[in-house]
Amino acid sequence: MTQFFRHLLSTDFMPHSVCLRLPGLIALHAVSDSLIALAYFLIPVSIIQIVHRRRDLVFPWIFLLFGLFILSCGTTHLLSVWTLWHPVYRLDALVKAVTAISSLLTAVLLIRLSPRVITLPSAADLRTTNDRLQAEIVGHRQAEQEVRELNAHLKRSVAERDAAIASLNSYLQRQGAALLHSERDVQFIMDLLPALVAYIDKNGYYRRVNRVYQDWFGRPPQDIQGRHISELLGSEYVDRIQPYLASVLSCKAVSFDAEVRYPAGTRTVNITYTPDCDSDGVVRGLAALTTDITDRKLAERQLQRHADLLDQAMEPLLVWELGGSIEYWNRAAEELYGYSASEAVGRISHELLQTSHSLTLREFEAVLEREGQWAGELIHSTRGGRQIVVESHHRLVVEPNGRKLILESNRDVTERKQNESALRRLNETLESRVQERTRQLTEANQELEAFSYSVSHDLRAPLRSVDGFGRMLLRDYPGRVLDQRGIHYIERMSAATVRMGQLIEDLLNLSQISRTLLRREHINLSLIAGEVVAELSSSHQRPIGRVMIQEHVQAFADPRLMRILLENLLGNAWKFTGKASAPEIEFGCSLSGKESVYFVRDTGVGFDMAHVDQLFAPFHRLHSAQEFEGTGIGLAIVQRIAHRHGGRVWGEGKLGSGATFFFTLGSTDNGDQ
Amino acid sequence: MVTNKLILLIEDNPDDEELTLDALRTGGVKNEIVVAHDGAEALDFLFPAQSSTAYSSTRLPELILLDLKLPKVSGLEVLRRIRSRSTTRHIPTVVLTSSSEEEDINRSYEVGANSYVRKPVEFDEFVQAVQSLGAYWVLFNEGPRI
Repeated sequence: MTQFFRHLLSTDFMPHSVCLRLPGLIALHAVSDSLIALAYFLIPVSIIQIVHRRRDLVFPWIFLLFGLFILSCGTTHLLSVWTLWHPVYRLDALVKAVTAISSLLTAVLLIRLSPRVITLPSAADLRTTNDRLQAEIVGHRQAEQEVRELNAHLKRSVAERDAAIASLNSYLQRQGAALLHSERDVQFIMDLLPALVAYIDKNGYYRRVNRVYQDWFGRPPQDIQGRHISELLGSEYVDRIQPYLASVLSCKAVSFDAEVRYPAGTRTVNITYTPDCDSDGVVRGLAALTTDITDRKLAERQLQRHADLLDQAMEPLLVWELGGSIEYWNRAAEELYGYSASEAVGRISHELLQTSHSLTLREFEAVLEREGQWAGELIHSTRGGRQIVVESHHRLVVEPNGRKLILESNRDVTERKQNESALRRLNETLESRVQERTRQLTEANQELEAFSYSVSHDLRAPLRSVDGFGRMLLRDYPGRVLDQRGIHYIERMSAATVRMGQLIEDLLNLSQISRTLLRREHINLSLIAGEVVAELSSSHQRPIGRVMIQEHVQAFADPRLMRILLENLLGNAWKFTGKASAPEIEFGCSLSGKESVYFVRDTGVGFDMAHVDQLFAPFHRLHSAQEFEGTGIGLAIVQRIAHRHGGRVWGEGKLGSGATFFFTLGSTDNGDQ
Repeated sequence: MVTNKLILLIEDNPDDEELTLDALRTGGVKNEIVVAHDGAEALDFLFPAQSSTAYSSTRLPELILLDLKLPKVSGLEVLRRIRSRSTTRHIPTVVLTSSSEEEDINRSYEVGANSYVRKPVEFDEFVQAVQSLGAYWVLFNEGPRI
């Protein structure tokens, strides 16, 4: 082997040209091999150039190997040319060996590579892929554009926020520097607060308190700071507030009302614990704000008492805010309207009660605001839909904070209203009935007038004829037509006509009493009685006996009618004492309660009380005309006169022991003596 | 006794007319008496031929006895007419009637009655009343000179 390479370039063989001898053949060999060599040397140049340029080649090394194989083939042909004249066959063999190895290696590798090369995409596939990629690229570009715009917007926003944060930061820095970071300032501000303010550490020790503590505990803050809560307020207090402490120590704020015994006295306070926790939820301590609400609680209790009292009121009461809703609703309102306080509070009263009002709610509220109050009737609807009429009073109450409240009280007058309308209807019918009666009465009066006129004129004339012609008969024909008996009959007829005439007269007098107008005056009955007695004594032959007239008996009555009344009573007394041995007549007055009772008493024949009811009936007599003359109209006239004055008349008597007649003249204040 | 005075009796009731005339005659009143039986007749006598000349040939009465309740024209109306005419205004007129109603009496005087006499039911009283008024108005009373 070593010898081979030592004699590699030795020319100890015969050149090919020697064998060939023909110069043409030698030339053909030389030219052909030279051209093949040239071609074989050019091909690798192209391959290298392709590999160099096309970086995306899948298997570049196979191209290089292929280039090497062709290069060695070219070299073999070049040596074939050289060996025509220079027999370096050892070198020629070596080059051939190299060529063989490289071509064999290329072939083997190419065989192994071929299945993978087959799967490589074709040019058509690549075009399709390419088109799709193109489309995707267009889409990507649009998306990119949008992202770019979004980015720009984001950038602006961020810039703005950054500016805001920056200004806030600078502000906080300024403020922080001025206030928060100054220990002295914090204490100053704490001391200003009208409440107990403290910082307590998580173990319950006061770290910092404000000056108010000094007022409540009687110790300076320095003396309180560093002490435990229980030292100041006792362990019983700490036990009591344990749940709240537990809450605040687990980083939850808590607020509660409590009654606490302070050295300065027991107060009702509102305590707020605010936890001081770091971001991990670990508590460092707490801020305690204690506000004195004793007065507020007292006021609340007082308000509650007032509310309880208002609840007891019989009248439905409600309070609502002007332009707002119901705030208070008492028990009577619950009962009247059927809505409980919890249902009514918060509602608009006009809507809840469906108030029927001539004004709109806004107009009504304007009136209330202007006038300060309103009273009148309203129609409300209860929960059950029943309509009720209420007598309503609204009053405007302006609270110290300017809030305008309306206190409304409503009294249910539905029943009264119904009664009123029923009464009104009744009154209307009553009115028409009264008118009807009045009309009837007027008619009756007119008939009575006509009747009286007729009686007065026509009834008497026939009597006069009967009596007149009878008398003329007696006068002109004495003893010629009539004997004594005939004369007697005519005299009886004549007496009857006279009595009939008297009856007519009396009847007219009685009706006259009813028909004449009553004219009351203040009169002295004693004087009238005196005049009547004087007339009686002068017009009759018989002495009147003893007459007693009480002085200054006053009355408020019609003087003409009173004269007729006294004429009848005193006339009766005179008549019925005619047969008495010691006749006595008395006129007077006594007071019975507030009423004046007048009387005429006599000592005459009297009467049986069994017949007392018949005494006052017209033309009813207890005596015969033979005993005592008269038609029986006198007491009927007396009674009618008393009735016309609104009074009454009654009699008391005993047969044979005289009689007393009493009369009153209605309830006037002027009848007293 | 003066007998030339004319008396006008206005009376619708024939009984009353006869009784009145009887009473006047028996009372000595001899004067001529004219009777009118209702208000219209009385007015016809007092104011005859209203359409003719103002001068009346009829003798006017020197005394009128007047009942109130009369057919056609009432006594009060007749009295009102008498008082409204110059020819009859001064003739003494006596209301002689059954009524004693206050209203009748008052209204009669209002219209111008010289006297008001109620006719009593009792004949003797009636005669006395009529004779008295006859004597007074006819015999003693001096009327106006026309």
